[in-house]
Amino acid sequence: MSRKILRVDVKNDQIDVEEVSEDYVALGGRGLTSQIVFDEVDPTCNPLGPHNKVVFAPGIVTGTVAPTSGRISVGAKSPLTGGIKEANAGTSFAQKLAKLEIKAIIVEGGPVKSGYKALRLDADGAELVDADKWSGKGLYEVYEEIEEEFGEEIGIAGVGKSAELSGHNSGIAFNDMEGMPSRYAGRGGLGAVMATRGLKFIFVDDEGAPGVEIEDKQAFDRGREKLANALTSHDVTKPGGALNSYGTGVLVNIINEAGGLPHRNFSRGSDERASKVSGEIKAKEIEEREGKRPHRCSPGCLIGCSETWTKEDGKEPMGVIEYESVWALGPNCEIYDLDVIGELNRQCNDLGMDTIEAGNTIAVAMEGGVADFGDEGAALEMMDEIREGTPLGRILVNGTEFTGNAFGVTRIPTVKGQAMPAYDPRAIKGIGTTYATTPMGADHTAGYAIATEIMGVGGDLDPLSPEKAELSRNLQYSTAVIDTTGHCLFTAFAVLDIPEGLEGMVEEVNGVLGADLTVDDIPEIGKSVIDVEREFNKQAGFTKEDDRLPEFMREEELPPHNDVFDVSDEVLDEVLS
Amino acid sequence: MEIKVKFFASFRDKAGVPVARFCAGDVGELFKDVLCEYEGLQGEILDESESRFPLKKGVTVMVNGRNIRFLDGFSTKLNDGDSVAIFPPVGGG
Repeated sequence: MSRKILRVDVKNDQIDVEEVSEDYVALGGRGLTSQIVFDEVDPTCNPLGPHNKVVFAPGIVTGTVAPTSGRISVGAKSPLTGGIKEANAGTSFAQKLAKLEIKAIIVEGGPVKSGYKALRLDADGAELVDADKWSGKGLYEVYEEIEEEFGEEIGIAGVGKSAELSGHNSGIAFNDMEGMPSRYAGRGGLGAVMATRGLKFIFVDDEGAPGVEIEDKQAFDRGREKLANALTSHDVTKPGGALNSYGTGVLVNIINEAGGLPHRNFSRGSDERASKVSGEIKAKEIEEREGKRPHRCSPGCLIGCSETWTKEDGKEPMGVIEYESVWALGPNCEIYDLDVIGELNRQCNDLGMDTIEAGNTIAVAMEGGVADFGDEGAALEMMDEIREGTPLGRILVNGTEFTGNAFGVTRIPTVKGQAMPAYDPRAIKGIGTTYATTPMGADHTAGYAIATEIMGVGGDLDPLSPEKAELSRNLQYSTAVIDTTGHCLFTAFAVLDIPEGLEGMVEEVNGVLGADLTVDDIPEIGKSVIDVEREFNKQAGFTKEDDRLPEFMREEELPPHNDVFDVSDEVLDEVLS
Repeated sequence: MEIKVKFFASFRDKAGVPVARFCAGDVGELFKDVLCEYEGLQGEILDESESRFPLKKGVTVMVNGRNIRFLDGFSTKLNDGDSVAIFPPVGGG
């Protein structure tokens, strides 16, 4: 193994290249970022102070020809949750980094308030270059300028104005296949951790890169073929399947029908107007506007769930509008116009913000009287407030809980300080169980119970039944493994139903590492990742009382099913204990 | 008695309409009428080899927002004004 770890200290203008320790050899992606954060970051530190670190790690198989595996994990202590955080994105940046044989980048030191730098990486080495000229600018303009200066083929990771404001809602933006800042490791405020280390961008050029070393090519090829067969045959992931045809927005209608799509800051779970912003409508609009669908977030993806949304005249492409973004910036704010949602999404991308957190923030601000629900102009003005760094903007950029508290809102849909995604836990209780118990704060991707509760993938469970400890636990463990391999979580739709696909994923990992893992090892590997994350949180001061949903969701009935979140504390406590 | 039937995603394309109205006493009876009316959906929804619950894997049918798997399946009774939603396999997140 010739992979290495880069350690970057902007404040001291220092880049060190380190050998990969034995403990890290079999890790990648989330498994590696969480282990490094646990090993090197004081859990009690101020997340924006000098002792935090932000870690980038491609997955174990990322950079190979393993299908749908272009994921990069980013980890740190989160300023939003106060706990450990891993967020990942699909982007060619991940593959380029892996091909340069970089197993992880650890960015440390600071805090730095000015004099931003960019880290340039290529086959000849690494250097820090001045990036101050891009400070304060929108990321769409900046990414164009970067590509003009450094070439169209580079991978870019960067932070925007929100991170420069030390906003607890600031993500890390990676360039998509068109070079736009639309692929996000968005959750948890990792952008602010990066910016306070003094690092504004990372540029990766993989020309002449050696590529990822594969220890057992036969095992790898066997696994790759099995996984590819599963992805191209499963109804959800195959060419012409739901994700490929409609994107993630295909969920709008089914979750709305199930009574679990939150409208008006989690006030009801269904509304006929949702159909106006559905995946079906969006796909039709994209076709008419000559945008792009299907589209891939990174080379080698066999699913192709992404897209390029444009303005009504087909101009000003802005990248994908994901299901979560449509919901957060739309129905949750009582906005049912895809063009307005698209513009809000563009503003989030331009400012470097997570759309789920931003949409929830706008909704609680509306509930707090800052604007009326459905006031599209006011929602857009909130983005201007952030861009201008006004006092209101500095409240909003710190996310949902901060904003809700600032305006006296008691119905704040957060867990561990992080806003909930697009499924109301009162109507779909397995996902609520995951929201409550994952070390990440409210995060649907940590254990996507929707697959089983709504889509019938990996089994069928009634979404209104509160007995979901086992479902959430199994999904959280398997997800931690997928996030470690570098595969997209959407591969789970296929591998949960097709055993050979899961075998293939394990064989790919064996091929890269020269290991002899089996499918039976998956739960234990996943548990080991989550145990590390939970231990970090425990040392940061979290207790089981933090594994709870907000009071209003346990007491206020959600129409149309008029149910509350009635998963008992005892069940929540047994999920990961 | 009128039942509102809603088609989504690829089923909407195959049916050629987003919404249709039928009269039926239960879900099984409704499906006979739907498949007779919309030939494009034949072979897409039912799994004839499965006798217990002959719905193709991944296909979701909801009556008033409740999946029929957790109601009485094809014997689920329908009442005037009920809404039935039919989805092909979907995913995302």
